[in-house]
Amino acid sequence: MSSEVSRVSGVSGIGRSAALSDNAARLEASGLAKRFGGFRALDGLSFRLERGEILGLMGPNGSGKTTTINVVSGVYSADGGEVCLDGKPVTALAPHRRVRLGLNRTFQVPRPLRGLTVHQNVEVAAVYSGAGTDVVAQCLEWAELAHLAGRRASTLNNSQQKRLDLARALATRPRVLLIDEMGAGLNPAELETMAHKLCALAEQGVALVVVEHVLGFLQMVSSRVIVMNAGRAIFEGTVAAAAEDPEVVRVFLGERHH
Amino acid sequence: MLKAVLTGVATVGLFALAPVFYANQTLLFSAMMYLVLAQGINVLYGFTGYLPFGYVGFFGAGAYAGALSVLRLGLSPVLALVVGGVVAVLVGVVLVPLLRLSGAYFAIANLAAAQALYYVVSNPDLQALTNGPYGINLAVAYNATASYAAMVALLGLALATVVYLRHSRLGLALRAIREDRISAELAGINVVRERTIAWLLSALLAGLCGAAFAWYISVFYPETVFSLNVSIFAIVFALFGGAATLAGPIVGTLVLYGLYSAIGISQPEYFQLIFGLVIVGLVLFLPDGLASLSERAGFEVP
Repeated sequence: MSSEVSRVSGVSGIGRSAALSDNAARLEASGLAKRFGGFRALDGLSFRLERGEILGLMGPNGSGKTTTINVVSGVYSADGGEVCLDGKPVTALAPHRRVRLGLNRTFQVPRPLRGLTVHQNVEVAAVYSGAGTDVVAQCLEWAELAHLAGRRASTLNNSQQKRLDLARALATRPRVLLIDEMGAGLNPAELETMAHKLCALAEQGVALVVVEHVLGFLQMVSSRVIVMNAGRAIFEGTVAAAAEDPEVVRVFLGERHH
Repeated sequence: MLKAVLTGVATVGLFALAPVFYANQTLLFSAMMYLVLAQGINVLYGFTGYLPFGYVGFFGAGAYAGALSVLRLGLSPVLALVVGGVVAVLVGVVLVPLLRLSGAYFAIANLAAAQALYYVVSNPDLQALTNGPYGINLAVAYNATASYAAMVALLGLALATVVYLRHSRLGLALRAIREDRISAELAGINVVRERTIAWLLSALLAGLCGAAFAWYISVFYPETVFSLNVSIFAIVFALFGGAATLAGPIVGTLVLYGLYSAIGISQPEYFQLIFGLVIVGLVLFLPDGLASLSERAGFEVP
């Protein structure tokens, strides 16, 4: 896999090097906490994300990756901590307010508006986020869904629904995009195309958080990963360094291998 | 859009001219009343998915508010219609927290709210204000022609509301909310605000309708205007034809209210049987109503 991987990650290098001149991060989460009953899904997670950067989020099942996306996007309210977009706290805002400020997400299991057409799915996002209907055709084209514009979303296959989910998010002109398990259920060719698309977004300045189990995919898109366990970050660095880290190995493979 | 407008105009025109050819004006009036209520249910259920079993609460509130503003405040009947609509909207505002509930919980809470209104209005201790259980006599304002005309206008308003919802960004947002609340929020839609608008629009239609009913019928009791049957009829008529369309509730009301008029009074046991079978059949085989049959056949329902 190495030749392809290095070629694509070369593209992402542009996003990686784009640093921000002012000191507020595009997205900053500090001390995020979320409990479900007695279970601490997030337990003091902090991270920064700069303009045009792609940050990978890894970790075993139940480590809090998807909860991070849910709390940052406002789908769940945080029990503690703060989320700042360009230095402004958004923690108390409803999801639709965060969307209008340029924060959006996708879902591990895509959630299109099933009874609406593909075009309407994107249109409603463009209209209500304030982006305007001009972006609809562009987003459909980008997601390779233009030829399906008139179809009901419920008739799309998994890969198409994932792209529709992404097109819906893009139609709101996000500055920060949180992507939950894009790789799950995509074949290798689709994965690579998607990696290219995400890198291209980052080059345009969009900051991305990518939650992923498919390591190859993460290697293609992100220069920096955070490994989570039990709601905390236990490692931050490159994908390659993560694979070498004894704590990360212990978390993924269990005590006996240590 | 054109098809929808033509359907609406034809329906309103039919009821406006029908009294010339058909003597039973009360039957026509009742059909229009259920048509307005079925479209009011449609505004809420068809576009947001909330099924308001206590919908009659708005109708009763409108009927009493309209009648009492004529009797106690001496308002003209036309102004009283507006008061009926406004009071129903105010009741809707008070009940906005119900929208936090979903599915059966919402339906039951809404039903309880309508019952609570009924018990307040029919409370003998409030006889000085509402005349309690003894009902309302609005004979001073009786005018069959004017109140019939008011209901025709109201029918036009109800149909125009549904056409607007089917072709506006508000309607698209409401359908998005109905499909998936979270995805709708992530499209930037203020879910709480948009569905509250639909709820209050729906309340307004029922309130105006109740006030027009009070004006036409002239004598009524709390049981008349807070009868659960009114909710159930309107819901079944709307769902039988097909929610979220304009033509669905029109067809549903004309067919089922026609059936009710034909045998509902003379042979109520057969009507109850058929009505019950229709409800069961609807739930089991045709949850999206007759409109879905037609759409399956490739004909788009306006």
